[in-house]
Amino acid sequence: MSDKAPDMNKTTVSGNAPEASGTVSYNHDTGVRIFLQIGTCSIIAGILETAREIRSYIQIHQVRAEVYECGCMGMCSSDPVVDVEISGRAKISLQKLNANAVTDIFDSLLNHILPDNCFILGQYSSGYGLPWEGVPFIDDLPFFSLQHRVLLKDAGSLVPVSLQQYQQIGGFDGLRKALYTYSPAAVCDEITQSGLTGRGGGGYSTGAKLKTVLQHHSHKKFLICNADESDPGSFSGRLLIESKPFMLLEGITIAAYASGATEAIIYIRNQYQLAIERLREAIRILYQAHVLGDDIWDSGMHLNISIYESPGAYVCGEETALIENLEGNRGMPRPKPPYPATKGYLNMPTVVNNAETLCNLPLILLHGAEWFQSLGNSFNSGTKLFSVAGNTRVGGVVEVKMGTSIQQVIDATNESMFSGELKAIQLGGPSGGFVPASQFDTPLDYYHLKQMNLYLGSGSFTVLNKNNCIVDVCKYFMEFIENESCGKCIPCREGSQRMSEIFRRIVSRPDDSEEFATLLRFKGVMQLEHMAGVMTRTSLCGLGQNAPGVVLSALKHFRNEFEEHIFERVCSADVCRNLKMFRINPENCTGCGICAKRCPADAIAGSLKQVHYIVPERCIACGLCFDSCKFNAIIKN
Amino acid sequence: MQRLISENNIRNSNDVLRLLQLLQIESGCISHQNISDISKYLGVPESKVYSLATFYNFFRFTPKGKYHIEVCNGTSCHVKTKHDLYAEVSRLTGLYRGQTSKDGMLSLEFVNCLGACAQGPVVKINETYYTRVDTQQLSEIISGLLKKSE
Repeated sequence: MSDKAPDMNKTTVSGNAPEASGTVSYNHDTGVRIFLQIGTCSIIAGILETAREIRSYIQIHQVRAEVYECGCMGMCSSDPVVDVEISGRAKISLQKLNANAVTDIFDSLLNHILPDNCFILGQYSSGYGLPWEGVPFIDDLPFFSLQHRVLLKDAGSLVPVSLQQYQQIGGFDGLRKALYTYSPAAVCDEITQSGLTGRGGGGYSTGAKLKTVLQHHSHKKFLICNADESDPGSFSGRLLIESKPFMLLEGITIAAYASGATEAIIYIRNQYQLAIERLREAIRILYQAHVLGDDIWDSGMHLNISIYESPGAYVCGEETALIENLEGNRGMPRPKPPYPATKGYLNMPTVVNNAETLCNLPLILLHGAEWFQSLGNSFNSGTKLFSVAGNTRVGGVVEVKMGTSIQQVIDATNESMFSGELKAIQLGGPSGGFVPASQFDTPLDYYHLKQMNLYLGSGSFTVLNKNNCIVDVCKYFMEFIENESCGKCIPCREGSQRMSEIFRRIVSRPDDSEEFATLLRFKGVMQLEHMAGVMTRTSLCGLGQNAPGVVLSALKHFRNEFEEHIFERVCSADVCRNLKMFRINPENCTGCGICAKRCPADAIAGSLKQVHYIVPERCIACGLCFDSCKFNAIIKN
Repeated sequence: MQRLISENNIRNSNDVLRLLQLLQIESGCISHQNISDISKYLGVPESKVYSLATFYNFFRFTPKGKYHIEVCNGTSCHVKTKHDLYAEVSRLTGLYRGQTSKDGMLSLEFVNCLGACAQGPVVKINETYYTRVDTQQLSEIISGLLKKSE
């Protein structure tokens, strides 16, 4: 049947046939080509100003140059990144390119002189042009060489809204294969066989989910793509959508074909304006190219895709809460069963899948289930994106095979000299947990993490070093849950409030007589464990069930930090400032009065040239006096 | 509001959330008058409209100030902040999260994530982003704003 597949190049905007499948082709002969890597991260870092500067430079100096607005390759800490290709030379990647550095850098680059080292990220080894001397190859940088990029392949060099470029790297071949050579049930089977599991954290087989919906008879079925990413600290899905919007749309179309859905909704966070803008443009192009709408490529399949901008609630990451939100209600989870696969949006069978899961589908269809299995280990197949941030040297999105060790991700984002200072990894955000440095050899897959009682969540990977206090991070996540709990079921609503209270008590200075206060604080920790157990067992949805995981893993691996806070009232990481006490050493104090002037709380008393005194009840422990004293007269404990 | 209702085909009680979203985008905040109007027009109890508007982070009940300060409270920004940026910005502006100053110049909001995790801590004032902010820098920025608003 494959001969029925139409040649899609005819329908694209401009008609240059690709020279070779698999890479994006440009004319390498003449002029200068500038590739701006535009993503939310780089916009925040100021790439729009840089771009304006570059365009005016080109105009003033009458450089024959083409400027492309590409996606972002995910090395967020180096933003703004701009790639430049001068005729005859290899493409070079410039990092941290601020607007005011543009003139100098282009002056030298256009004369074939390398600019200052701090601006150079590396060069591409694509085979065109003479390599620059002394410049490392991008593929050799640990950040890229230790990754296995499948989903993110070409993420920084594609123009996100160019259908033609997406087709040049094999885009829509997977859909074509699905539509013309497979039945919907066969697509489901292929996906089941590949071993793809939901990347949103649940880890449920995607193929099985699609098949349940397919087998359920109904006159209308829905597909919802969850691109909300309401976890604080995860941004991998956003980067994927911003850089390759067509990939998500192709995945959605394949999933819709496999499940029989005719209506797809992309549920996306309202803050992701750039992603929304690019998706809208991509959807418009696809309707034009007849890849969406009625009777796609004469195959008899219908699909409409719409975008819903979510008003923002963490609990809406839970599929039933998300559906409640779409129906116009408060986003509160429903009891399961019935599962959305049988009774979901508007009581119709509904597939709810994470954006990253759906992006895998085109590749599975194109390369086959066996290829996908070969990417992982024996427990999970495929790759997984991680949003690496926190106290790391390089922050950004890392894609590795399932089963890669945590250490390898750390090596990719840190130079080895930093590793010794690392304390733990916080995996999976509020529903995840901590992995201490001693267990960095743990393979990253659902099976091994589950054995450690950890959930991968949506793949946030926050690096904590010795300057971070575990108790403080726990308190942060508990307060987040306290804020975001929808309030439907009591264990989560009340449990998160009580647990936050206990944390607040642990990190604040006890004002009671000493023994009694310590007892209360100690009792708090005992209650923490008990409450965490109750919450895990009795909460209605995944949010409540997984929320105490952070606390439990912290108590398991970092009990000494809790004890230190309770008994010694010391935060060795120097974060919990309310535990700090300041007093003045009368021997060193000269009575200069600088500390009294700086004190925002008027807590320092004393007249000029007399020894000063800190009133403990007033002191807010901000530490300004400690920083301002020139005579080391302020003592901190 | 009438215009929004007629332009966007809002008909029944299922559209409350959509109307609230349109209003928030249009006017920057939801007023209590809006809530009673919606309730009357769509025949939904005021309590239901209010419960929807308070559930989602997107809606505000106070108008934004001329300078709208958003401090990122994402995980990455939190673990990268050495001193308590949130307490500091509250102290400097005299505002708590979600508040607007009386003269309407400053408003403060803590947001869950601004999306620049690798460059944190991040503070956004209107459309300008400040990355890798420390307390010293923050106090300079805010005292600059306070001077401008005088």
